[in-house]
Amino acid sequence: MSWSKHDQYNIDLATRQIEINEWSYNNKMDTLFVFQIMFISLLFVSILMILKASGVVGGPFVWYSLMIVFIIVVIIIINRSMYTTNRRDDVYWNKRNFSDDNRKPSPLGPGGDTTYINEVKGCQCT
Amino acid sequence: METIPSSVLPINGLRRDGEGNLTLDALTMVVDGLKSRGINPMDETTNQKIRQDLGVFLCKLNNQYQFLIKELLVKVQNNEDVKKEFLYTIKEKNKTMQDVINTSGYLQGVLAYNPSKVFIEGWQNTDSTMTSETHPTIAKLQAEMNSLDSKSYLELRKHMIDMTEQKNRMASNNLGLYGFLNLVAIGLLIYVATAHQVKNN
Repeated sequence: MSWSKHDQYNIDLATRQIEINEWSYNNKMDTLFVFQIMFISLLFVSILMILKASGVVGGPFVWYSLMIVFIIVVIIIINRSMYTTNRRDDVYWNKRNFSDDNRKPSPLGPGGDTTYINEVKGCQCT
Repeated sequence: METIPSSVLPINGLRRDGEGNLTLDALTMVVDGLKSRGINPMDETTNQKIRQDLGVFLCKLNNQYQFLIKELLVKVQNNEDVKKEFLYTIKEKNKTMQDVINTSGYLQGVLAYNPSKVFIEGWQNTDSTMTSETHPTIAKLQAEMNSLDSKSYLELRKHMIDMTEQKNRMASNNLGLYGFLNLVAIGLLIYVATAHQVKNN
């Protein structure tokens, strides 16, 4: 399908703007997810502190729970951040870059002489 | 997607004017079709029931139409080919919706004018004919029809930009809300911790 130069310019501009908005929206939603995790954790910690203050649970239980929650939250934040920085595509939010040449490595190996792919490559089906 | 059958609009090939609205003779034909089946639209109760039926029909059509428009938006966004049959189906839905609104308005008009009677979608009708100038839904449908006719779908893309901007605003609002809630939660945590310390001392 061919359009005039002016139309093509407008289409490209609109398409790119949509891509930018979509990426920005998904980035905000990812941040929102982290905010929600933090909110839930803070409330959980507050409840634990109240229980500790009223003597329902002991000190060690509270500190171990705090440590576990903290570790989980930190792992989630680091994981999201690293994924977006290193793996996520710059244009499409849901697209992942697999390696430097952006090709997904085969689970059967890189395709060298000793791999399964090479063994079956030359075989003839009768 | 199959067309929903209607008891009021069974006739295909009704005449339309330049804007896509049913002409007066087409609307008369619809009313004559009703009369031939022993349904008298001049009777107020019958007329009201017919318009209720049209309201339900319009609602179902609108659901299908919105679904198809969303599918079209996804296809356009992904730069996929849009098949002629797909576009034809959307246009047919659009036309039928306009027909339903035209017919409903006409049926309202054949009764004596009564301002307390509300037309479907809350629109009070004083005239038997409807145009894009007098009915906002018709204007919207006609604008969308023109957009569907344009091969570049530039209007649809502009609409998608608006949609994504709205999504962004919604996400920003939620971020602000959760930022505030987090501050409240931190405040609560500090309050509980200091209260506990004071109690211990």
